[in-house]
Amino acid sequence: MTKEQITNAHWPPETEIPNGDDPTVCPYCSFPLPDDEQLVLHVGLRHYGECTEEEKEAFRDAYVEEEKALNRFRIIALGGLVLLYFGFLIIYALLAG
Amino acid sequence: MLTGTPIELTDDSASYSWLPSVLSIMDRVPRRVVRTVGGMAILATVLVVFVGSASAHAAALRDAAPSSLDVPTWLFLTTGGGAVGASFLLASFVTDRVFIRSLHEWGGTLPSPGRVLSGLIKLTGVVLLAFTIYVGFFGPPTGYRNFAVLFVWIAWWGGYVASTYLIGNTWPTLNPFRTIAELFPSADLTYPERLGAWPSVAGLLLLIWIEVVSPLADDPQVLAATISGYAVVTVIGAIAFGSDTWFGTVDPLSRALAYFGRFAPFERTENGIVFRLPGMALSEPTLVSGRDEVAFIVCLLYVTTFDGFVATWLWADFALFAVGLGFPPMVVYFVSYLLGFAVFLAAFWWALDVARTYGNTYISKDELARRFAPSLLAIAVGYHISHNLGVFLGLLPSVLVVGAMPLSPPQQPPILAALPGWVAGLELAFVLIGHFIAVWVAHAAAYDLFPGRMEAIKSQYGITIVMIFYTVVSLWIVTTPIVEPPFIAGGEAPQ
Ligand SMILES: [Zn+2]
Repeated sequence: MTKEQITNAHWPPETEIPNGDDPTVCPYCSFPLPDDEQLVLHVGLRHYGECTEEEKEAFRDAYVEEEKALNRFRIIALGGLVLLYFGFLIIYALLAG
Repeated sequence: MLTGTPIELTDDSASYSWLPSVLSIMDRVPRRVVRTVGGMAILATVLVVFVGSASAHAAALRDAAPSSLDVPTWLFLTTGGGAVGASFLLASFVTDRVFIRSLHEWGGTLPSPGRVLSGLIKLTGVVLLAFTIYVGFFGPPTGYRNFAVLFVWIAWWGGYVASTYLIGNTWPTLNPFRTIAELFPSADLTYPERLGAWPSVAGLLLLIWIEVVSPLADDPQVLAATISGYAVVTVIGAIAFGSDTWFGTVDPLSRALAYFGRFAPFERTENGIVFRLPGMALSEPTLVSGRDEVAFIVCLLYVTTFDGFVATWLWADFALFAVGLGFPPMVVYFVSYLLGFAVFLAAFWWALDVARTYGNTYISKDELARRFAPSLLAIAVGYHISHNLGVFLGLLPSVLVVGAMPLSPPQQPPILAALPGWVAGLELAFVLIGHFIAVWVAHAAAYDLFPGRMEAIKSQYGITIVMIFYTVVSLWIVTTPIVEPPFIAGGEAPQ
């Protein structure tokens, strides 16, 4: 048995929907998701073999779209790393001096 | 180098059709291995460059300074916390789902050892147990001259336990209590399902409680009596409920070593010995099955922390203060012990709340707990090494000499009094490496759970904050001078 199969055997994970929320439900595995963007990504990642061409197209678009948000985050993360690194460097230098 | 993210070359390709197909098909192994090795090298380089150059700068500055630079405690601790925070930021650069999975799936299978070897290991386990108890009761009464004390704390706890996560968990075979129990027919009583792993949580708390408040590391007879008591309970329990149920569910020692074994690069399975990258199996979804097991893992991390914490001046001051208010010392110890555990559970639970909020998901907190708890095992592993490496190396000569003549050991068994400075450095490095692996495992689990990569990163905010805080606390405990805990055996009640 491969680990892929274990992963899929374990899917979907247990969910808990807060009262009053109206989840978007995956048409393939009934997994509830909070919005359409998450659903599109979920369908593309979990059901690529069985989903429609439109869903694949939407998934690719969402995946590219995600890349933009990730790039913004990377810039912030890089800034954080630089701050951490030089912050510590300056503190060590001050203490040595 | 950081912005380059060469790991993600494939993300730039116009079509993403390769992505799900690779995610669901297992026949791309050669390419995966190439990617894995290349990607690992990059990731490792980035981490080492970051941590290494930060400390190298500090060292260079120290050398340049006319007088040696003493890094103040607060700076040392924040550097550790900062390194863990940095590892989260670095992990967030790795957003290639295929790469993340391939790291965790790399591995293969080797044939299992034969029955003869297993039989020999079992026999060795039982002989060592009997001999340890015998020497504990009838050998020299001084701890550092007694084979039982040296064997249990240095060879077994310091050395063997490390082998369960550095190599693989051999305890199911070696476990002498299991070998003895299996000599008897099992009564096969039905184990109450609803108890789950909770008895092992209580058992772990109890074992460490005994270890903290009794002179288990100094008095061979107390040690031998404790082992005997544990043996009786364990063997009776295993006969009553069956070995597999007892050692798979109830016995805290077997459970702890089994979890450590999930970190290890080798593991014995039905099909043979599988191998993988250290720590990478911790992201498997089926590793932890309920709140009871989550609590056990948190407890495992907690008890090592508490054990170290009672030997600090902070605890000594607090205990003196609380007893001064009129509380009995044992009550102060016990209530603090349980409260500390509650604090650890609450911190983890809070981190999961954050994950649920920022991860934009309906996945339940319990499910998130089950998936993220195993990452804590990597921290427990790092902490175990850093706690034991120096003691193990320093007292190894004693173990060997006393082991060679256990009934008439020399008055002063040899020790390595002056360990090279890099051992202390290595101990601290292991605390950090444990955290790095934990950050990575949680990152990978998040990628498996959350469809959005951004959500996967955001879900780690709370866990990262808790880990940074825990790093600072554990680095402080490891480096703060050891103080005899007041009011308990070994420590004198102050006048
Ligand atoms: Zn689905």
